[in-house]
Amino acid sequence: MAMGPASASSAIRLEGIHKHLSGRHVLDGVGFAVEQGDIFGCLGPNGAGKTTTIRIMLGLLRADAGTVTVTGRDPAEDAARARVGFLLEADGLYDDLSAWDNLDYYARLYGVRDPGGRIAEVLDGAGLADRGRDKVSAYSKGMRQRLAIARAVLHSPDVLILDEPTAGLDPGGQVEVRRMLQDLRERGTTVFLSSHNLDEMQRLCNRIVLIHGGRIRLYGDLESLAAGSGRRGAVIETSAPVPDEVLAALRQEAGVSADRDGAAVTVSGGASFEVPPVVAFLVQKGIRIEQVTKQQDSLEDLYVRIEAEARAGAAAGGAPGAGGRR
Amino acid sequence: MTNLWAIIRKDLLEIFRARGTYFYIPGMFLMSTFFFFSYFALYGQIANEKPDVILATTRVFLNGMGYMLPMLYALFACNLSSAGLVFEKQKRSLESLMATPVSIRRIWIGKSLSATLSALAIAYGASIVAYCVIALAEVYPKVHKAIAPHGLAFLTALVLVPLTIFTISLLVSYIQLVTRNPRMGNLVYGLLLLVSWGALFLASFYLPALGISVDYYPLIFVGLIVVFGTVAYLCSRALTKEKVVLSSKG
Ligand SMILES: Nc1ncnc2c1ncn2[C@@H]1O[C@H](COP(=O)(O)OP(=O)(O)OP(=O)(O)O)[C@@H](O)[C@H]1O
Ligand SMILES: [Mg+2]
Repeated sequence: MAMGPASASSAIRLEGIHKHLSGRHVLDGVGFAVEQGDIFGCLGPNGAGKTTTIRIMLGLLRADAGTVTVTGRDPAEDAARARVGFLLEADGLYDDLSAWDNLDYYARLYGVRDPGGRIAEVLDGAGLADRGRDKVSAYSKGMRQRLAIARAVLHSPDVLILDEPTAGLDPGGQVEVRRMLQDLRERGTTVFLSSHNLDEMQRLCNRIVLIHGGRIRLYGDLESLAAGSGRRGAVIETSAPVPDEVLAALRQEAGVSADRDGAAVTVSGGASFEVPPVVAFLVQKGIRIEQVTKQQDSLEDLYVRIEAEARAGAAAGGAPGAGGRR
Repeated sequence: MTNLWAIIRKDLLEIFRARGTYFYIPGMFLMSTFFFFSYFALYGQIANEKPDVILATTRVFLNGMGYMLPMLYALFACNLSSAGLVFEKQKRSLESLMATPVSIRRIWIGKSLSATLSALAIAYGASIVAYCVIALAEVYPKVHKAIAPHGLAFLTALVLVPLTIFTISLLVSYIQLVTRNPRMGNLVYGLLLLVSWGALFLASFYLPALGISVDYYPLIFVGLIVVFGTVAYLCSRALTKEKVVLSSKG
């Protein structure tokens, strides 16, 4: 959870990255570490700096300050990218070439051994085995995206960097792409992906970073982030409305906030909030409990709150927001 | 080295797969007919001369062709191929290519080489056709002697012209790589074209007037190669991936 120094063996590691583009402070001290085996999500609204971060991780842009290592090396070194796979915002496929020729090109660039066998394998994994000889111009968006991911994993990279891999896909296409990513996770590939899709991030990722206005607003383990982010609680439905004095006692003795809404009580507390003591307390006071529903912040709740905080901070002249000038 | 060849191979494959190429190549061949016409105009004047005169005149003509014809077609085709680079930048497949372990200099050289090679293929094709029509179909039946251009013309066509095209191609692709507006590249291309043709034209005009044989023509190519090559070298030191990414749309 803490932003402390990452282990030396981190798959990707950024420290104090600053980047100005056309006079705008696009990245303002971005730092995080992606550990081996992570599916690491990078969240943020449009213009947050996700693509810029990815470009720096792929040696396409140079940071003004700070250090970046991918598989332990500076990605600006050409050879350092040999064990890295990627998919950028534009898929970068060649329309006039067949899927096979597209893959063959990258197989040659990466020096893949037994290219023919490997190409057949990844085409199959992308569900495109029987369309390999078709020109890419005849592909749907979903097929293109699957082909682009197949291309990204062609050389069996240790680290995969994907910029919005499910953007613009229909739900079926998104499921397909997620299935491919889950397969990769099972094979131990480290995956870094950016996305706007919070639900998808929550399902896929074990760790996330949230960037807003070029700054990191949230970073760490998804579970503990959701747990430690404050709001934890439960809705307790009772057979009859809870009397005022019991509510007051609950607030005082259990140290939680409690609100009554008809025959239901909504209780919530900080990171240390636990449901059983509250239930025990109510039972002890002779309250009959019908149902208890645990409540926890979803990633969306977190995201919305943090974004609002970031906005408020920018408006108050605190943090430089997305449009902050130098 | 392997990935340089991979780039060239894919570019040639793409040119070969694109439908436009099949309209372009016959068009180029059609254009070479003006070379024949100028020869036939000349031939009309010498047709009744002795075989020696026909041979000597034709050889001078073929020498000139060795200098000019490959240069002419190569320059046009080189423009076609640099359009491929512009397209790749617009479609942003170039950005993906730069994220592979290939260095930006290799990409630049690879793209320029594939432009040069495809251009030369067309240029040599046209030259061989022109040679066959003039030397074999027209002159041989009359004088019963094979005729070949001067060795220097061969040297120029096989070494100096390719190098000239390559250095021009390097400069044009450099501009296409680092500027947002493809018209900049076209402008530079037009300028280089003007410089090259200007140099060749002035040479053909002044060298004979100075009593220097037209065989010294290749020196003009050497001069162009040195100048363009030096500028290309200076460009290579300034080329970075960041420049290419930031000058791309999107
Ligand atoms: N080439 C550029 N020149 C100037 N500013 C740029 C350039 N590229 C990006 N920016 C600015 O940098 C900021 C971050 O852009 P970036 O593309 O990294 O955002 P993003 O998080 O990927 O957004 P999206 O979700 O829309 O893809 C934006 O404010 C953008 O306007
Ligand atoms: Mg982006």
